[in-house]
Amino acid sequence: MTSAVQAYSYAGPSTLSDGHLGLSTSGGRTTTGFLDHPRFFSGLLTQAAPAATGLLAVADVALARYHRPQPGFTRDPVVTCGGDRLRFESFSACGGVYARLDVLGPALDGEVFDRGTTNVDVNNPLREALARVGGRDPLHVGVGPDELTVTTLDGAVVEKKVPLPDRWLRGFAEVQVIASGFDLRAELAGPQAVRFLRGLPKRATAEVWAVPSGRELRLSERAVPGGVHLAGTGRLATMTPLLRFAKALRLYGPADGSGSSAWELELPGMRYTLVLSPQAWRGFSGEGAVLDDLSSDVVAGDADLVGILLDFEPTLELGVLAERSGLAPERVRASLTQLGTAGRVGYDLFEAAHFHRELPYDRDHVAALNPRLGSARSLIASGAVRLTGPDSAEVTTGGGVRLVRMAEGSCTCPWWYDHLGSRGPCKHVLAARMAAGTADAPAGSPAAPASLAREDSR
Amino acid sequence: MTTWDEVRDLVERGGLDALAARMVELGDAERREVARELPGYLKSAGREARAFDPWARRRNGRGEHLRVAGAGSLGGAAAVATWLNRRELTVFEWETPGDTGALVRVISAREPAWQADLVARLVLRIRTATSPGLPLVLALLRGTGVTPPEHDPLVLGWLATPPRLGELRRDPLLDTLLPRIFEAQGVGRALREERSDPPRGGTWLRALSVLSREGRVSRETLVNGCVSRFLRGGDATDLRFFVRLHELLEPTYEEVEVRARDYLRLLPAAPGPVAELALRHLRRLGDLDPADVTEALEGLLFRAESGLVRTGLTWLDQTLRRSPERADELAPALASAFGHEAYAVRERATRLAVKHAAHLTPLGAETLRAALGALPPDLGLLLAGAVGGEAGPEWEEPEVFVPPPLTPPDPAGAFPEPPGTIAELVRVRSSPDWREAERWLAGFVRFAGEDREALRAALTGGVHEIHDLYRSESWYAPHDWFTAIAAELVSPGADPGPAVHEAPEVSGVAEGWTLGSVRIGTRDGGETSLGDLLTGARDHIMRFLTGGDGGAAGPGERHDLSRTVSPGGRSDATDFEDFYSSLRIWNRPAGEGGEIVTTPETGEAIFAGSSGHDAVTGHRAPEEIRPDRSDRHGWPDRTARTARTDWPDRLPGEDSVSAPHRFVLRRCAEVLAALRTGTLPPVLLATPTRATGHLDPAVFLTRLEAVEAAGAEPLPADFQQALLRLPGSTDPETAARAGRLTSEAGRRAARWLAEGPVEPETRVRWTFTENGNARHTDEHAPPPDAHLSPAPWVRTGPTGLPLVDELLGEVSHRDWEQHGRYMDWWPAVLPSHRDVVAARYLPYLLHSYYRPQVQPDHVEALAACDGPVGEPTALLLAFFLAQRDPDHGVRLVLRMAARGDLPAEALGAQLALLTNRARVKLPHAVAGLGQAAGQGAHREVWEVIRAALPHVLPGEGERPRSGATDLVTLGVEVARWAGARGEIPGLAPPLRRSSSEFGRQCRRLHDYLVRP
Repeated sequence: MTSAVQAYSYAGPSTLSDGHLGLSTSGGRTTTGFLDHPRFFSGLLTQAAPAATGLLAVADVALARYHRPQPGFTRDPVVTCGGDRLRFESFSACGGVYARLDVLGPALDGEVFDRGTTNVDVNNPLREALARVGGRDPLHVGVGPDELTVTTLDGAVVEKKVPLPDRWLRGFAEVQVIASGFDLRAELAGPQAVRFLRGLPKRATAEVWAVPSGRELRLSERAVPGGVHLAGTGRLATMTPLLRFAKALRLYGPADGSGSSAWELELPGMRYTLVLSPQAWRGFSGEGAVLDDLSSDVVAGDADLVGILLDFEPTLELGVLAERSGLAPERVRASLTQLGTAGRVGYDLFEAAHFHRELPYDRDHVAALNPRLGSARSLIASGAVRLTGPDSAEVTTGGGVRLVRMAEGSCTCPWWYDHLGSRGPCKHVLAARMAAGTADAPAGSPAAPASLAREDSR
Repeated sequence: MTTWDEVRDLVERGGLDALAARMVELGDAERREVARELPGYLKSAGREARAFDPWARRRNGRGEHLRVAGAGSLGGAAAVATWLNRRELTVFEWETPGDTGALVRVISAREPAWQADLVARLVLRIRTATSPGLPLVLALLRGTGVTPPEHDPLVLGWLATPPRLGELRRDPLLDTLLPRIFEAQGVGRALREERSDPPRGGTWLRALSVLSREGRVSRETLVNGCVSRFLRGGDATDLRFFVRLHELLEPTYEEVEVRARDYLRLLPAAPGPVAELALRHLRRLGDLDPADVTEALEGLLFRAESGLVRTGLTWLDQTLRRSPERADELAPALASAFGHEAYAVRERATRLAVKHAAHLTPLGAETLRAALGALPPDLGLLLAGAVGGEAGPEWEEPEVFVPPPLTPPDPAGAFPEPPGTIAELVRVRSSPDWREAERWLAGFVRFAGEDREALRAALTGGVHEIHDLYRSESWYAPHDWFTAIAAELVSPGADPGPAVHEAPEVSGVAEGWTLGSVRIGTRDGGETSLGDLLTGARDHIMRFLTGGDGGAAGPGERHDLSRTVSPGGRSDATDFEDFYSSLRIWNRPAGEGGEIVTTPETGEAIFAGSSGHDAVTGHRAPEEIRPDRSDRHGWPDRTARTARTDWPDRLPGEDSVSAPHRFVLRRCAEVLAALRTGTLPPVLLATPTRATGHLDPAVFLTRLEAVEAAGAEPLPADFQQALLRLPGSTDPETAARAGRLTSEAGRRAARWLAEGPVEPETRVRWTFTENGNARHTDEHAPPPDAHLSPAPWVRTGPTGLPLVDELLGEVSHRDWEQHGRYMDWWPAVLPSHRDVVAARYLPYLLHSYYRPQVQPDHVEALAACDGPVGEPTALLLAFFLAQRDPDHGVRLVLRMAARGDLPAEALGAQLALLTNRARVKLPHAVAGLGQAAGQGAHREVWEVIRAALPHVLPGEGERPRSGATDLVTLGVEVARWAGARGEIPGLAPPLRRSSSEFGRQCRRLHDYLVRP
């Protein structure tokens, strides 16, 4: 398996001293282009203790391998400044847990210099210092080099190199798309939330379903309609230190019952969200949730067009994007999916809206990540697809001829037999659909100016 | 000879030391020469001989020599690092490389800067604590004194060797790597099993505590490291080693004082053991920043661990007694304890609040008032008395329980249609599924009558391996019978009959009991196992010893099979009893073993002791057979035993399989026999019409009429199975239609339909063993430590139908060998007597894993069936409800509650008995009951709890058993949901004095039930 390497280069380590939290930034995209050490924000965190605990929780998720706990490489959290809020994101090393701390307007009091996304350095002394932050301590935060750290800019440079496995990167991007299909399933007030989370089975690998029952949540050990699946209760452990600040807990789940879930803890001026994969051993990559939207070239063109309009908006309104781009809302939605898998938009469950953030990794790499899609394209290129009817096709592969039903997405291949659609369409279905799509594609596909599109994808 | 030749010679034949010595001496030019040649040599050597095959290397490989040669010659440090880690040269993870000394020697000969570069590169290549590169890296680090780069696996590798004090004291790595053990990931996990009470030799705990006492290691490093590690977080397992190390160091007052803030910050969120440790040390300190203490207490009192919160409350109490003016600022901390799970903690917090209420300002009082809602009503009243406000009302639930509706299970679907064509019949799968078996049998009988030639043609291909089948003495699987039936159709008379052999000389048993050596038609001489013979012998002995009264006829009478079973043979019989007595051919002597009779149709000889006669009677009453077999001395007749004519051929003995299983096989056997004798009826009667196994009476009558019309006799087991499958009630029209039937079977059926199914009496008796005797608890009081096990008890009045009597009669306790097979078939055998099936399941409920076990699916099938339910069904439900994962039990309870036939009272009693003495846990059952109640079965669950409580409540002077408190607590909740009333006897006594949670909950429940 190929694996890229991510090289972080910080102007210095992130530090916390005398109530000043200086978060060092590595390269990232901003509204003014790509910067080596972008500077986003400087000001006060009005809720010091929850903010510090929340940051630690995000850092802990980055450190964790829930499926098989063992030390290994960890990847630094990602911060996005969207103007009125800071979002700290991380993705567990096992690829099954996504965490985000949204520090919202009311908890921030300071100046925004720029909008964009970058990595922030997290190191051991910083973690200790964050753990020492008390509720009465004022906490000044600077994202990016500011007055205090500028002086040391040419001094210490922190460089880290970590491998960036495909599945990790793809999961990080794809989890946004998966989350965008979730609905709110339950909401608990603070005390009930605490009681519920404390009442979860102690065994970290326990698998339960949380079922709304009055103002509480009840646990069931099997799938129940309306229940939210929680595989590996230990994967919610990073919420425990935040419980004393919790005002509410919201649960989100997919409409199709595929088993992932999202858990959102409302904190004073902040929200802490965890998105969990269907099983502790299953990462978010390979879920294939997005392949349908990705497979058409029309969408790619649309995505280029929509991509220009993002502008690090903290919430992307579908309607506004549709109006500005002149595309139908469904096509905007499909292009947001495409942008999501390219790591260019995230999804905020509470706002039920996407937000712009450019994962600070090699973008072409992220976009080219879908092996199933790649296989499907090569099947088409090799002429293996033969349409046999309006809804059926034969795909010739090394393992024999596969019969595909495009509408229901079924296939005669062993992979489909194993997963029966639970992991999205197989490559044969994708290839057949793509072949059918190109055969009768609408003539007037959206004419995004090629030059603009290229400029944006840079 | 060039240098390269020399080196190659050493690599191929020399020792490692010689090679190292030579490499050290090399000049720069010579080194370059060797370095130039080595890669090519490795390639060619690898190609030519598989010398560097990792598996072959141990024997003839020279990998280690090549490593030394490379390390001594290659130019760049990077090249050497790569060379040393080449896959074809490294050893496996479990091997210890033998070249470390030689490598150190050649590397030490290089320049220091080069060495440092190499070491740093090698360090970064270590992946795990067991890396084979580790010994070299550690040796080089120690030798060169290079400060290794930060690399967690190196720290883990260093720690992986159990420390020896003497070596550790001198270890130059100690100073650089020790601080890193507090930072590297995975250290806590790797050392989590080290014990500190007291630390044993060879552990890092002991080594570090000794070294710190000696001053070799600074206490500052260790204590700081531990506290920093705690601050960085991790779970209890990851931190266990550091907690133990911290406690072994016994931090002094001053050491704690300077880190007081750190310890305070650990209180709210650190894992329990860490928070305990922090709290313990903080409590030693005299003066802490009051504001810090307030904040720490707020976090501490919010925690889930009762112990920590209690200590925190004590701390808060002391603080307030010393400085009452701080009551206001500590009020939020106190309020956060109100929401704790444990009643005792809430009570303590409430009492503290009441105690210090006087010092509160109105603002502080308001904080507590706001938290009143979190308190239970009694404590709320207490607090409201002190700070004002209103407690929650005494009995109103804070939230209204809206029971989710119980959805009745879908009514059982129709039974899949029997095959409509021969092609479909051939496609019926031979899976061990009762539906498929029924369909096959029904289809076979139908087509054997309609178009036998076509059926024969269709089945010919499927009959193979038949000789193996004929070799075995008993056929346990219905599928075997099907094969035999098909084979009989394809080539009639191919079955040579079961082999009966001379028994081996088994002393004692064999004496006078030798099974005869009559062989009938045995062509392929199958072996009879000793076990089978002994089983047979045991059967005979048992039958003989329990012998009944005299036989009807003397031995030697021949039985004319053809007369008995030929179609129309019974047409002159008028009375039912006559009919059946005429069928009771076991009254006739079956003495002569292996008699040959001739079937009227084929003229072929068949074995008279075959299933033929059994199929007709469907009856084998030992007391009536036995005397026929006895000679005048009372011993069983030798020839009779020999021929084994007392049971149909290939049908397993009744001791070796369960009654329902044997009944299923008997139905197959009678079809086979009827096929041989040409007496197959045109249609089978018992083929179900519902998926539960039930048979529509109208359909049954239609079939019976068809059989009558064809002048055939119904097969006895088939007929009796059909009766057992009729539902509980029949509409009058159908009953009247049955009355018009003229045959004996028809009249019998009419009577059954008119009277409805018989009602067996079913119970569970709890048994225990005392002095080797099995006793029942309803007859003897069990000793307190007795292990109880349930035994089924079933009685049914005689029905005159022998097979029905057998199925509804006494349940065998046997659960070995083939017993317990085909348990999923049983509900469909007795779909209107599910409690009997439940009773038959009981022997397979509690036993060990290698025996057949009742599965939730079996009980689910029972729940779909009909008939009264009682203790046996209740016990099955109780068992699945009391599992660690009670989901199956909950599902079953909900299902039965939705249909309105949950035996709630029996379930309560059985649950209590089951969890009392058998090894099943009451707390699990309570969890299951809670789930069921929450999902809408609250009224039924209340009945269960009401029935269980008298068995669960402790007697005078006894402690409540584990789970009793949970049960009563759940009872309080469910009673409210169900709006229950009515005193429960025995609930009042335990609540008089007790201040325990159990007493409190009993009081609440009692108060609620007797509320006005």
